[in-house]
Amino acid sequence: MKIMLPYYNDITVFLSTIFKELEFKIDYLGKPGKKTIDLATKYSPESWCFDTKVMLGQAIEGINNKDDIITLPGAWGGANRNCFLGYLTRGVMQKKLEKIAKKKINLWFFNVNPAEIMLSGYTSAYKNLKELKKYSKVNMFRSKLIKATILGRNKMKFAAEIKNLILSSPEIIDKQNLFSLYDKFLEDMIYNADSNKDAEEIYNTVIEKIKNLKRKKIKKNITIGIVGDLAHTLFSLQPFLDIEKFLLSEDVKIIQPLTFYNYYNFNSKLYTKKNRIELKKIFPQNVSGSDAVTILSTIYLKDKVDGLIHIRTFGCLPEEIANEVLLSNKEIFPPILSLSYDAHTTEENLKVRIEAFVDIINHKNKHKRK
Amino acid sequence: MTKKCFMGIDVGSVSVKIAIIDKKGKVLLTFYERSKGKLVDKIKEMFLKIPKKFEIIGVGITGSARSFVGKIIGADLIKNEITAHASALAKFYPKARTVFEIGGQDSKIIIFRKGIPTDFAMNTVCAAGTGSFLDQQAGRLGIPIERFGRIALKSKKDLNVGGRCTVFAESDMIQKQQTGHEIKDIINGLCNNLVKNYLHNVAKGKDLEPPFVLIGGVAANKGIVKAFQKHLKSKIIIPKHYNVMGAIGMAFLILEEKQNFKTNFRGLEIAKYKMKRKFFQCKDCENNCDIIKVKIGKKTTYSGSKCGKFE
Repeated sequence: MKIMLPYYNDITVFLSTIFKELEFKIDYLGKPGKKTIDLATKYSPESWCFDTKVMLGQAIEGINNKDDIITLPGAWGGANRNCFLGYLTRGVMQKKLEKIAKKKINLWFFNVNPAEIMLSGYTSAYKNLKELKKYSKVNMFRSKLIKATILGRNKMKFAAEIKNLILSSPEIIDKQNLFSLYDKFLEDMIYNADSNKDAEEIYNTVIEKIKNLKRKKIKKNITIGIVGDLAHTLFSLQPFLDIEKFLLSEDVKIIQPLTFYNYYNFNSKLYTKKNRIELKKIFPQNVSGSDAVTILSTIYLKDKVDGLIHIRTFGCLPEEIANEVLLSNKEIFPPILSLSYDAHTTEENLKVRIEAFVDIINHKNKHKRK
Repeated sequence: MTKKCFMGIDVGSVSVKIAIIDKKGKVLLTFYERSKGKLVDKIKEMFLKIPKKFEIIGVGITGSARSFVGKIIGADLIKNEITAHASALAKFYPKARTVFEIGGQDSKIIIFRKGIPTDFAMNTVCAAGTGSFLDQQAGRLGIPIERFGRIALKSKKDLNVGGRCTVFAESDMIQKQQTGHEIKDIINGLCNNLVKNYLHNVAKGKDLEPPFVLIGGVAANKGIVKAFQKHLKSKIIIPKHYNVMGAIGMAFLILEEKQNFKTNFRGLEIAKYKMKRKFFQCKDCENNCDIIKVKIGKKTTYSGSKCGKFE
């Protein structure tokens, strides 16, 4: 069986490990591009949030590639009542895709909270992952799944460490090469890392290569935190702008707490009693879902960064809520740039905003130093 | 004898602006010309008008086509429009607290506190309230854009014309014309609603505090200025160089940031070179980027690739 594997940053590495262990053939789509957006806008109703549209575009790419199983991320644990995608997981997407493909589609929603996988091992995630059993021909499915989950976690840790290293290295001159190394590393992790030893070797090789890249001196760099888009880690922004690469080229260090692995790592730091009290003050509603996570991560980052970029796709209600809460409490946060995007967004438009935001922070810091 | 100078260029969507300043920051020369879609040709034409006594020792460029043109002419500094405008305003109007900029295809707001830019916003995909839309409507009504503002001032009525969306605004204007409203009232209504749209969208959530400064080509439109004053109940300052602030800002930035360096600028002589352009689509990945290859003199420049392959 051939399974479609979309790009969702470090989650991709985890999923690929599960798929390989269950002996599926992997069709890795890579980062979404113009083609994905074209398919997304062609087939999605206007009212869908942009993330969901791009996911539909990816699913159609998978169908066009004749994949037997189409992978889509669901709303994790159904925790967020405001998430549009959460409703679509309950059957709408299936019907929509079958209507487009004019055949039955095997759809699998990856629906696991990162903290569950990282903290509890396979047990709590098992219910979701075992939905793949009906497509897999492997014997001892459960033991294979345990093995894959443990290996997947380790591989994801390596991927996250490489990414965090990249994000904190604006002094590396050749950003293009740096990100090409990361893309190649991801592919190696997906296709060639069948054991911890393989993964470690791939990891060490890329670390060595990054170490050998030429660096420049940066007098005073600034640090910017990227928040929002917890579930999908910037995947739908990719066709317009690689924001991480762009920020690094502006000599900015980046902290991105909401990738899959980082979220687990930051989890205990995010949900401290102090942060929760602060969250309650500015967001007194029931605390759950990605809106709360975005606000919490902003609270967590506020004393660690010079500025924050809140990424939100057009139509994402949880992120709209988070945005309103952040903007109405902006006096307690460092400067926040709220970046909303959809299919009509242009690279130039995003770049102007980000570049101006970085300039304003640099200007402020320069003034403070004076 | 030549005079060492810095040049700032603002390549906007409808116009090209050039400013030349000396080493002390004195503005020596400014140009504002409409590009009519022929950007590089227009720049070459404007370069020919620059007196030879000015020796350009540094060039900064801003505007929507900054990267493309910057590469072609060998600019030393390429920056966004917000930073460029902020740089000029910090020099000329350090007391300004709120700056409105309405250009050809976008509009911005920059908030200053104690002479430092602290916040900004831009219009998103909507072009309602920008210069292009006013141009388009002036063309449709058969009125030169230069007269648009003066006609609006003659109106005594407060006609409501939809300004939230260009399409709706146009159909509303047509409907108002059909039902016999006077042109001056329609234009005045349009100016009012464009300003309202700007304040409700671009300026939404910003702390609007006087002194207010309005810059960009649209600042020449007296109808728009009057509408701003009406809605903000405050005086609006229109600077002397309101339409070339971006270019002046870039000249200041290059003056500040790039002292004692050798310029990459290819010289004003570039205007005399022949230019060859070629467009092709890169098929190496699914992005299918539209690449522009430009050859001026012996130098070839590429633009348009997402991945940096043609950098």
